[in-house]
Amino acid sequence: MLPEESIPAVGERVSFERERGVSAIVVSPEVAYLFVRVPDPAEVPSQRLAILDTLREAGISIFLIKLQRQGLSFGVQATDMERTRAVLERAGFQVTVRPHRVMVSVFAQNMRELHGVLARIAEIMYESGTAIEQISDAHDRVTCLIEASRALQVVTRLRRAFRLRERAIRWQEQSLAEVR
Amino acid sequence: MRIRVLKFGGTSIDTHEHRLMAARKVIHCLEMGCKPVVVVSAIGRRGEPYATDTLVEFLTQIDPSVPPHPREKDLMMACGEIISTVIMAQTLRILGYPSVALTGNQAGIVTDSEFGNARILEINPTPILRCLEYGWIPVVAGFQGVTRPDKIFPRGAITTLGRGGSDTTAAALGAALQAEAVEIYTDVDGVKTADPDFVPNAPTLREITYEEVAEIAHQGARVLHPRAAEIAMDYGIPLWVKCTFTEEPGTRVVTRLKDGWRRITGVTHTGKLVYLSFHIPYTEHKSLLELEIYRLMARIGVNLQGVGVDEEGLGIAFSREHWQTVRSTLDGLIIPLKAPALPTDPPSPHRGEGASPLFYLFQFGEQPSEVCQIQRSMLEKAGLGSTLRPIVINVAEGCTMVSLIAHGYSQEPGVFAKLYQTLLQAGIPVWQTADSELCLSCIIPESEVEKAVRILHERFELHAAS
Repeated sequence: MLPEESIPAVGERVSFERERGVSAIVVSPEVAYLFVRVPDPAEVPSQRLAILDTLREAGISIFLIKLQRQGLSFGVQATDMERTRAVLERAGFQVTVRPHRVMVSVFAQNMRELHGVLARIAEIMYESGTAIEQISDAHDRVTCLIEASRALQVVTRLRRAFRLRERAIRWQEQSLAEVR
Repeated sequence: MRIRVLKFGGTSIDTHEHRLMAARKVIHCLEMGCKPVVVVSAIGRRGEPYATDTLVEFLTQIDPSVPPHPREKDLMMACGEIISTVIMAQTLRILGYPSVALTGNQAGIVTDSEFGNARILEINPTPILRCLEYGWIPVVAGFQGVTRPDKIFPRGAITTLGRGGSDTTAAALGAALQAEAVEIYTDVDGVKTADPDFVPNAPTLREITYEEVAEIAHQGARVLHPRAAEIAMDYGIPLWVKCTFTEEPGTRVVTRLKDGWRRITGVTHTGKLVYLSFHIPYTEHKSLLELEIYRLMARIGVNLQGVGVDEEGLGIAFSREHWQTVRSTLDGLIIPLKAPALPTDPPSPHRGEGASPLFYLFQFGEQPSEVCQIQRSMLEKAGLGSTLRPIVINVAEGCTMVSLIAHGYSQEPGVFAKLYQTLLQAGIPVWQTADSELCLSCIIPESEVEKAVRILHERFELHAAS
């Protein structure tokens, strides 16, 4: 392994503009990811709406929302996991819950104009034996949902691959202690 | 010294009358006791004689099959702004205000050497400050700079800053000169809650945060380039978006809104997209096949958005300009795989040895193309028919992305439900979604974009925003 000093740092060459390429990694606190299955394909769009209405009425915040062929998947804060499951099951939905997940977000300015960053992230995840269970993108980031127990190893590899300094890695509260 | 940077876009200076209106803004700045520094874009838009696109066409028409060298292309593109500086400086001079036209190089803007998309490395503000001390109005060419000297070119080479480059020049000069404000003048009277072509009565926001304006710009609003917003945010420079042709106060870009966080800022739309949905019901290789798809797209230079994984597949969107390349790359493609779905950690060099190979064949729709049929029959003739695993790709060709800029939406249960319900009830299919703290996006048919923007604007009561 290279000593930290020998890794060229990002973010120190450009005076006015933000640096090109990957500049930071942020790991969320633990979350739970839920998949709500709709058995009848014809009912999927209307049932997705029913699921969302149920969550709205219960006052539950959701994120990493993805439309699935057979339903809907989304994340909730770990503290909301049991309540969310209960609310949805009470409303008659089939719910699969994956607890102990984190979201690893890789930040880069104009991510959608950079070739191959997503492929590189997926390669690193794959090589470290980590399944990307969900993925989302924005103009400044790619976010991957993974098992919390894999986070430290994945972040270490991502950091090296994108030549980031330690200070470019941010573990949001809770996750650091729990993952380490 | 109180300095203000005033940037005028191409449509603000495309006629003598418009240039006089722009000049009045500069003179008003002087009358307020400030020293104006003017930044200009190239005059007009595509088709007009001095617009950047016109100049590029002039170059590429020599032989369309031979792309110009990026260095020469930048040299050509930089001419548009240089012409603008001279014309604008002369306009101010005839009104009695001494002015001096400056190229990016003369204004001290040094960039890296990525032609066509250069980044500003440093700005030496001395030439501009000298002009101001002499009482001249500097008129600086936006969108350009110069590389550092090297052995061959001791004075560097002219570069351009890429899309939104003049906004970037203005914001960076504002930072270098410690300006009290940067004013971006355009042909609309500020940042609006939606595209006024779709929502004619969309109100102008009086205030917006740097983060919101950067997000709104990234999601398709063409009023200000996000790079400029990011520089202004990083250096804490007050930024305004104003109209050259009216006395409207415009939109002030701030760190924090006076009345707290606005939840919904606007509705935007962007991109001509194609959405592909891959059906991969093979758990043993799903992760590896997804990785191969990402690698393939990177190899052919296609950037992805709207990515989503489901239990039996993957969805991706990309710009429609790449559709034919993507189609010809994927149609009939076979990926033979031996390795297990996820390798050991660290990966074993022997993984997959001895396992039976499986041949994954990509086909568009349920009816295989001629290429797919040939591939299939070749495998069958080789006695490998039983190892064939088709991956069916469904295509939605005419898509676009509509986004709700919703700061802190995740603290507000039900916002996504309202968005989805609004689109669904209007009969607008949603192919996939993406979300961040600032934004909720849906990939929808392009034919429905105007309707989608209008109904979302109404449903989220954005007519009352300010």
